[in-house]
Amino acid sequence: MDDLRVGDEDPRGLTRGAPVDVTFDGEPVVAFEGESVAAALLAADVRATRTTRRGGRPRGLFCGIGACHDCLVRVDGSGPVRACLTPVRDGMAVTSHVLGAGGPA
Amino acid sequence: MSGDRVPLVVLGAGPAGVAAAVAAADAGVPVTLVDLGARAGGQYHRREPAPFTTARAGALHHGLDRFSDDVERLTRAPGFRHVTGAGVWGVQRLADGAVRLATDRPELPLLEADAVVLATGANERVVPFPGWDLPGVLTVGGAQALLKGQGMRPGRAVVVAGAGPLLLPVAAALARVRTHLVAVTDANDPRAWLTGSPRGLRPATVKEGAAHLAALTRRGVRVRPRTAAIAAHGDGRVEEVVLARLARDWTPVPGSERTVPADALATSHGFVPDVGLAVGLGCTLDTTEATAPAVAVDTLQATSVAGVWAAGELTGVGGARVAAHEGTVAGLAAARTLGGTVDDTTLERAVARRRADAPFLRTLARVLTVGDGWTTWLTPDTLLCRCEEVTVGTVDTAIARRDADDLRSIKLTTRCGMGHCQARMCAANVAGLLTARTGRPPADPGTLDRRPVAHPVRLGDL
Repeated sequence: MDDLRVGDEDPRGLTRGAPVDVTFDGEPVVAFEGESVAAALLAADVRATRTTRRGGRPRGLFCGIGACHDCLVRVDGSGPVRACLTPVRDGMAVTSHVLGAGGPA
Repeated sequence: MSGDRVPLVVLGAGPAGVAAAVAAADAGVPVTLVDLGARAGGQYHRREPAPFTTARAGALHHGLDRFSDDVERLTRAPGFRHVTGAGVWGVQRLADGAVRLATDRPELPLLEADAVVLATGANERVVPFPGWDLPGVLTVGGAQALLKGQGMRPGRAVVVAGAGPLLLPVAAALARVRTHLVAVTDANDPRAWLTGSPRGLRPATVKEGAAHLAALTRRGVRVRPRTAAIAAHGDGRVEEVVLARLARDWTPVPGSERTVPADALATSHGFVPDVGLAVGLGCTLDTTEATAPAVAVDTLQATSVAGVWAAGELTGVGGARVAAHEGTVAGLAAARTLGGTVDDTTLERAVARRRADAPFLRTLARVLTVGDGWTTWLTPDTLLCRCEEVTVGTVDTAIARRDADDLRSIKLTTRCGMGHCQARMCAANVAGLLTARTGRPPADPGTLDRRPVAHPVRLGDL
């Protein structure tokens, strides 16, 4: 049960989208079309996707539905976006959200 | 600037919003359904994204087939429009009584409606504890969204702990897909469901609960009553969770603490109505529960503002079935005002069906409580506001120094509730802590729900 992606155990008989190439802070991440950035990073064992502005503490996916904004990342040099609401795209470069690299959060 | 003008906007495409849209559409009113999701369903019927396919979509859902039929019927209704992926960040009432909405969809920046049904749902409440900001701690709803929406487990060794109606279904769904569940604990005693008036128990709810328990039992998982996750530890991510048995008021039983290894902790303690847009329109709140202000409505789901109805969790938490009952009433009432064809019998029946939910709602209110003892889990450096990283100690100092009895003072002196989430995560906990420290509810309940801009927007979208 090492893979966090549910396989044949899913009673819905789930089939994922096509595999796509994504990177997180330059490292390749396995992802499938339709997945959120947050889910793809989780499956790649990335739990902390940014550090906080004041305490420099690690943060990651929390509410999973776009309310808390803890999972902010940057994609292809964008401003901060919520990883839980952002679908992966082939060739997407995701970077952790660090203060000073393009505005506060 | 003016936008498209439509007769009726339904805001939110969960069980309440879709029921409202169906009722209004059946009455001949063109409906514009606006929602953040890519497909209808809300959080309860969250679906997998389009590139995913399923052989049996309803297998992890309860009542999905009927909901999908409703959505399908809507798409064929004359004048129906479903605006997907739209975050509504602003609302405004115009001089002629119409409501103007500002969305983050570039092709639809503004939308005006003669009438609105608000069905914005609820947010989960997570009471804070040391380590709740560590990556790997997520809400129970977040775990559900991962599973239903992405076919993903939250971790390899998972603790599910908390309280509220979502706990058992999500733990059971995780068990069904063979997630390694280290522990499943409920801070309340689930047996409380079975005490009290049998009228307050719906057979369908009992059957559902029993099915969830059976799924857990089949996987060798026992739900521990009166037990909570009161701390999480780890170096940069969750590695251990501290469980403790609780007294009835959620104060940990001394010496009962037990540390278990885990890489994920799914936790939440109930729901808080999402009243932000309703407050923006000037709707009166019912603040009987200071930690969970709800939109006040009459028996026709009308708010205090003419032309604005509300249905579902934002009017008080009752679950998907009650939400759908309320949605039907709101949709019919709004349609009648707009000149739709609504006969009295249909409306009376819908109102009666909602009225019949009262005993169940009384049971919910009795069973799904948050014990005051959660404040004893806190240490001075526990975060109360995650966004602005405001600690319990900082808020305690503000309360003591200023002799504060209101939320506004705490917000202005500590920045609690001024971050990205705009107090969605902390409002109930700030109100709860203030109540615990001063011995009375805040003087200004609902203050942290004022959000002139409902969620962060790029300056370019303004």
